[in-house]
Amino acid sequence: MNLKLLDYGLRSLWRRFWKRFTVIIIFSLLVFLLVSVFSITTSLQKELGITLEALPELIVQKMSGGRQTIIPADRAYEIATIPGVSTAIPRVWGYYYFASANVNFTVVGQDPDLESYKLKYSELFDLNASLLDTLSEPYFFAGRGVVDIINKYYFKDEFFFITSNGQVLTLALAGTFTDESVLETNDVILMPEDVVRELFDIYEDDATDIVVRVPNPYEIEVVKQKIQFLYPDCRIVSKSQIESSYQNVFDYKSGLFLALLIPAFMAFFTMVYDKSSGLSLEEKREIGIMKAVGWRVEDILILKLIESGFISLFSFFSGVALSFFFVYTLDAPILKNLFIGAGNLKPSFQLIPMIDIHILSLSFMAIVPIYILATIIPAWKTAIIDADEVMR
Amino acid sequence: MIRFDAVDLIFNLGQVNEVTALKQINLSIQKNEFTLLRGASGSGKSSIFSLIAGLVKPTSGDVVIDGKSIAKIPDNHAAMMRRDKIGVIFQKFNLIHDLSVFDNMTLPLVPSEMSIRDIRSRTEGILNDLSLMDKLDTSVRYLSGGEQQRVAIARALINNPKIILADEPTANLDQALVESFLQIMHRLKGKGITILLASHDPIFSDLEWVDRTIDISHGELL
Amino acid sequence: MSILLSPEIIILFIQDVLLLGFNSLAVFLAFRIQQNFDLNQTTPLQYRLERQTYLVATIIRFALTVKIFSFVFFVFTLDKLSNLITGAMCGVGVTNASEYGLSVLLIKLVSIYLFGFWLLVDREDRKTEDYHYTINKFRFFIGIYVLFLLEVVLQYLYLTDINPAEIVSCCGTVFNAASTSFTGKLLMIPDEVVLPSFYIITAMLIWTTLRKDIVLTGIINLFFLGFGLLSLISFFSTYIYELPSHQCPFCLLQSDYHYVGYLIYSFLLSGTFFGVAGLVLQLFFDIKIKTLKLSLVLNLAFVLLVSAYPILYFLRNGVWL
Repeated sequence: MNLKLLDYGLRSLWRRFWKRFTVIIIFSLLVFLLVSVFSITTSLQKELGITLEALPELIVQKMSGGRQTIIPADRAYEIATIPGVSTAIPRVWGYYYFASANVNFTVVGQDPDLESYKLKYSELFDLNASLLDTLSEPYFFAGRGVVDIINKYYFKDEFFFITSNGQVLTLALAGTFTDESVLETNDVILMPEDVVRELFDIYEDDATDIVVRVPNPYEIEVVKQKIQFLYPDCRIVSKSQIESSYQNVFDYKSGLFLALLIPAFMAFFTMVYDKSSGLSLEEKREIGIMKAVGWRVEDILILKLIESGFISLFSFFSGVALSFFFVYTLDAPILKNLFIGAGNLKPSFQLIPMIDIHILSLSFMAIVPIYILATIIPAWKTAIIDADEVMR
Repeated sequence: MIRFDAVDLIFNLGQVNEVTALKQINLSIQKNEFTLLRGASGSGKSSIFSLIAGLVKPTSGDVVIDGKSIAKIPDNHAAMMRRDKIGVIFQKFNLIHDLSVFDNMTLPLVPSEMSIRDIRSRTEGILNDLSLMDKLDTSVRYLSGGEQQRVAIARALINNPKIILADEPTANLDQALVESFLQIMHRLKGKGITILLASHDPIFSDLEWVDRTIDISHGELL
Repeated sequence: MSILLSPEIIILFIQDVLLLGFNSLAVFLAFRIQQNFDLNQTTPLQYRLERQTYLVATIIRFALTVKIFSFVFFVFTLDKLSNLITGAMCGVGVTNASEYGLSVLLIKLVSIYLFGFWLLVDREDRKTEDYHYTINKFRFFIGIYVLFLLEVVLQYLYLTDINPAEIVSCCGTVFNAASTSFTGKLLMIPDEVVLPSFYIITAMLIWTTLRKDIVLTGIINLFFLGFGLLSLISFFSTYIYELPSHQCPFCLLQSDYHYVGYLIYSFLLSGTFFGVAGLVLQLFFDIKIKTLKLSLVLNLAFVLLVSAYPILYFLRNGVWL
């Protein structure tokens, strides 16, 4: 690369900066959008990854008529005897629909004396043990999102649940989840198991599903098949399936977003083409002079492409910088909600800051080739300007 | 040094707006000759310059510069020849107003392999000769007519050309500047450069150091 | 959920569309140029054609740059997709998810080589004063274009053919000497044969380069490419993974191994590119180019890099795998 040419190109760009201003702005904006969206989805994925870490390797559900139904709790004993299985625990839980706010809470049951499959549930019981001893009525723990919602409806220390039989169940709020992954526990309500049974009308011998821990990853498939063979009426969901499907969803959402941006890319391409093609009289004259004093077509092409290259880099980094500010400092208002989805409570949490080469290369590959290609034909048209007219 | 063999130059050949700029031009200019080209505007003077500079190709015939035929060489080779051997002084100077004296005069060498250091030492020599050294970094738009002309000359000299083409260089100058221009031209001839100057300023016709005068009218030599 | 909506895949499609458009323009111009180009005529048509040669050359230069970046990106994507496809743990599984997988990879590589060759011819062509090679050069491009079309079609077929739910084999099964596939048979050739052959070919390469024999160097480069890949998969990769049974060309590219695969392949592919370029340009265009030394340097870098792993392993552990 000829340094003199590089220098001339950059200075020439500087002289005509305002002409390119619109392009730079829109280019940066597109980069900003792309990087922001990818950052948000990746950040959410990582958050979710933390959540999924704690999930059991297998979840066994009984199916009837294609729908999930109550499973006999004692099946857990049989499953626990399968080699490779460390624990098999029946879970009692369900979704509680709070009509006034039109949201679902996840209600999880837990025997206070037994160890939970989820460490933090046991922790919560242990932490508040002294308080619980003093309470006379049944109680529950709630995630931050739940507390916010019920507060909005003027419930403070207790809440009225309506059971499946139509009875009213009043429970005292004993505490809230304090934790690292807000995403996970935001809409969760934790209660003693027998209270959940009462709420959802689940008999003593039944459970909602059975969670199975298989410490050795290579044995998961085999255990899964054995359980399936034992209980053909069951569906068994593995953790990797869940991880896969979540990744799919994020992929799908960001892919969809990208696909929707395609018309914007096309418009961008057209705009760049147009703007690059329009040469002022002054510019034409300058090119003519250059050719008259001995610049070749190649030299002018290189000049034009140095200009495009520089604009690309500048706009790209501006877009990235803007995006970082938006996502990690401002916490990505509006865009964030697009990816979390409705129906569940929207947690207010900080996205995890990260500089991901994957996100950067994805955004780079999405837009920079488009810009450069759009400038090729205009650059060529400029480079072949006839110097003869300048001479006259 | 410069030779035209039966050169025709026809623009828009075969189309409605076909125009014959030059008809069967034969000329031969020796090395270090100072040639004066006389003719009214539209007579074909500029076409001759364009052909010598390799900016257009003859419709038929041959153009030989410094022993090499350039009638059919590709554009990039013509540009290289231009850069290596020819310096042009335009009628309207054709400087880039936003740039400094230094940038304007070194324009031809930007795409070349020459180092910045070598370019600088060359500029110093030329600017001293032309008394422009103090204006090195001044933007050209702030210079007087005479100074701009000297920048144009400096640009034509930066590549150590063998041939200088000057198209009506004195058209917009006052008497004093014309005098100084003539002195510079005389000095350049003394350095062995072949000079072809087009002008219908009568002052040139009386100079003894003009080796040859060519008159042209309506695309033909007289 | 179809993998088609993955952002990487969409970007690949967008790039293909763009390249298709521009290359088609280029081939249209190329066709006209190779038909009518004649420097001896100084008609307006010739002026136009000469100017258009610059456009075609610029388009091809860009297409090549985009293709190279896109290829690296493609490989990177294959790796990422392995998380979505059952059974795949690296790009090998993803490649095998469809019968078109391997063909796509190969044709992309060949395509990049060809575009590169074209640019080398173009550079030599412009140095001549009569644009000696122009007509043949553009005919060459028409051929390259046809291959490019094939590449686009194959990539489309491949990406739409992948079914994330279908289980694929991972590199452990494919690159296993016990398997009956073609790769399996290749890997059955013992290391005692492969390794010395590789080094002998390297030595031959040095010799032919020093003798400045373009044709012979080009041919040996082809063997170097083949044996280089084979020895990499069957021998050297085991030292990179430090596992005698892990023979995989793809896992090298993952972060676990510091992405060293990208460096290794860059050296091998660029080295053989410049070596074979000499052969191709000599045979088809009668052009002699001076890329032999560059080719040798890159190829030797490859040899040194891959050889370093077993040597360092031995030095650290006192035994071979």
